[in-house]
Amino acid sequence: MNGWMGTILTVDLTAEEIHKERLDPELARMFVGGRGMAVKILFDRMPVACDPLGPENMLVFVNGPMTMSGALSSGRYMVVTKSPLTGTICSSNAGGYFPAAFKTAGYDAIVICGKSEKPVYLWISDAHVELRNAEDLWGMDTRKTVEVIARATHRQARVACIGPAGENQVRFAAIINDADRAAARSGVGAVMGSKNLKAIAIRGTGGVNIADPEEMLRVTVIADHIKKSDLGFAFKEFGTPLFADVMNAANIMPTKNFQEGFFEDADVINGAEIIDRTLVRSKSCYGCPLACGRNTRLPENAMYRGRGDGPEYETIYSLGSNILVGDLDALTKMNYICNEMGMDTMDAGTTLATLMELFETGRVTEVDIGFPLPWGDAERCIQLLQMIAQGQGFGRQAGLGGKYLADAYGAPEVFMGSKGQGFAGYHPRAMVGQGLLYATSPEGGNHTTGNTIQHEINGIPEPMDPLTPDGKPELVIMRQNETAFVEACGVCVFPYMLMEEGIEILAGLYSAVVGIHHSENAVRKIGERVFNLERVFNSRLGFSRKDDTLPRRLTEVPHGEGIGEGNIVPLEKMLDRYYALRGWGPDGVPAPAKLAELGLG
Amino acid sequence: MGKRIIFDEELCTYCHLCTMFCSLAFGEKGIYQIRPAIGRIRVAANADDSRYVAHVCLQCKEPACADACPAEAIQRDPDTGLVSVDAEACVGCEACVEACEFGCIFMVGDKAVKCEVCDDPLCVKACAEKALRLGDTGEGDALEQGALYKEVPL
Repeated sequence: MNGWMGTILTVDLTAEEIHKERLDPELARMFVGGRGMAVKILFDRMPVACDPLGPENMLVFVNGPMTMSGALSSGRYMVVTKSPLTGTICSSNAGGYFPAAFKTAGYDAIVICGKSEKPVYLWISDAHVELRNAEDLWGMDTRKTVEVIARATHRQARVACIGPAGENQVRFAAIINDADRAAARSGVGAVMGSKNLKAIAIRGTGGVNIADPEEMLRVTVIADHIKKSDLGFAFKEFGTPLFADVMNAANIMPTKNFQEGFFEDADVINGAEIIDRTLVRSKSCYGCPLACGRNTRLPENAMYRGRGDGPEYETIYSLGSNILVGDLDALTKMNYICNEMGMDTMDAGTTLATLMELFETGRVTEVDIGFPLPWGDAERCIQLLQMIAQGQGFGRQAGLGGKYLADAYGAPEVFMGSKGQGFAGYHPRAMVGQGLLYATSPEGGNHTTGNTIQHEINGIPEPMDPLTPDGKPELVIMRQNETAFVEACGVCVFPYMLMEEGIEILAGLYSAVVGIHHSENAVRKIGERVFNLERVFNSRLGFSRKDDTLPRRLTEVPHGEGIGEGNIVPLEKMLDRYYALRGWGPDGVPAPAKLAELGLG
Repeated sequence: MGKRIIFDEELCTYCHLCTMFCSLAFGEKGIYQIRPAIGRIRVAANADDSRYVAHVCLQCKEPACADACPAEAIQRDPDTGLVSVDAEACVGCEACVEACEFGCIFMVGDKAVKCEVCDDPLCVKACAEKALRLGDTGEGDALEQGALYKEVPL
């Protein structure tokens, strides 16, 4: 096959059995790969009502047919499972170098089932697959785990693992690969921890077949085109932290737990400050010319020590503006701790923000936490993050996430998220399409399932009023469907979702790699199928319109001074139209006719 | 005057596109594959991840790989300066890999392979940062490039 490797690997940790099966071409045709193929596998093979942290849940590591194909930014993989944070289906993805090893070892997906009696790690060297004892690795941070496993297996092995947070089943624990890249969201690391699986280490020496190499070579022209564009320049120069200036200027940089959209200290935690203070160099994921990664280290005169990657913009918001930490060194240190302990920086931040607001209003006290937690106290945040990861004291409770805390302490309205997952760094009151996205994302408050920045904020392809609901249901549906296809292909959303003609270019490259020709609309249809199957998965669990919600702070409290002053997110109005356009019932459940149209009947 | 691939460390971002596209030129006949494990150019990072270096043959004037080869499978063309491996003659002993202090000759299966400078090199085409270019052997400083390889080995 071109693009696909043709093999799905299943590892049953309970029975200690390893099984390989040929990829069903029909599965590949209908769902492509990545997020698409994985949700189909889970839907067919797993009881959807299972406990996310029980042995029945399955953890699918998956790449797509375009992963490692040489197409732009093709070094991605995803982890798809039932989330312990949201109770929904989720797909968490990462770049780095592990995805390249995973794909070239010869697998489209690795399905992890059951639960090991003792800690183990999975060692894969091309066709060789073996479970190894990981008792000595349990408790180890992610960077050390990578080093030790590479020494024990092969120096070219690439490792995805959990840290103490995953072992302790922190509900927003991440799976970290190559020490610095994170499949961060939705608590995928906790699922891995619940299975006693410390790591997957892979060495791959195989290749990805390409249908049309001449056409593929055109990628270099596209890469050149991107590098010469403002986007390409800015990504290499500043990485995602460039968004700090853009979002703050648009009054949508969430500040003080989304009370505001403007952070007065944004200019000391932005992309330029990173260049001045912590950047070692720009760094690429495997096969990506954009090089948006921030390889950083804390300078000699900082209060903290450490090195790693980051912060990305989402971390600048979540561990910076949203908790009023205007200190790059401190927020970088928090980022490093999250990577080393294996936690999502975003939900770590929204959890801290929730707690700070609960503390300010006296619902949570110094006695509960063990110390006071005022806004902006970075020292205490650092301490609390360690306690969360290690499951110590109040950290164990905090590790259940912001929604849990807000509910438990009697103020559910202070958790800024949807379906239990904290929001990303775009304040929907001055960007209302993003609000609809957060409410309808299959995995809760998530920005990667169809971000509307390009249209609402950057005005590409043409300026669009971010404050009005008009046209937003159409926009969100289009972006969600396109993104689902991008992530089924196993490539990065950045070039394809930020370039004006991204989806057209992707459809062309898809043909070049796999040899199947699809129009732009045909690939959107595939994305729609994937998105709908995720929705069906959630519907079976009882999720419906009642769960497609936003906190009152977004739908009732007017936006502050600046752009969008006085604005709110008119969610219900947008939802009515969104469901109708989706072909779903007014309760938000996909109608049989729509499912039949998509081949999901 | 011969040719070689000239590398600029300042511009490298460790993306490996050079390795990926290089491999396209060397797959089995009739099959087009992106397969980094057969690439003739390979990228290394140092231990603390602060330096990235693409290892590609310097086309040495006095190639240690050729000297070490018991089968005389590696020859330097005196006119073009190109150092090449005769795959048929290669016995797969890996003596050349041991001998090359720059880490620029690799085993693929049981044969030694190295950069033999394509006419229109895909590695150069694929490098969006232009960290690689096709130059004359007399250009740039091969010794300096070689020093990088010793500092940041594969």
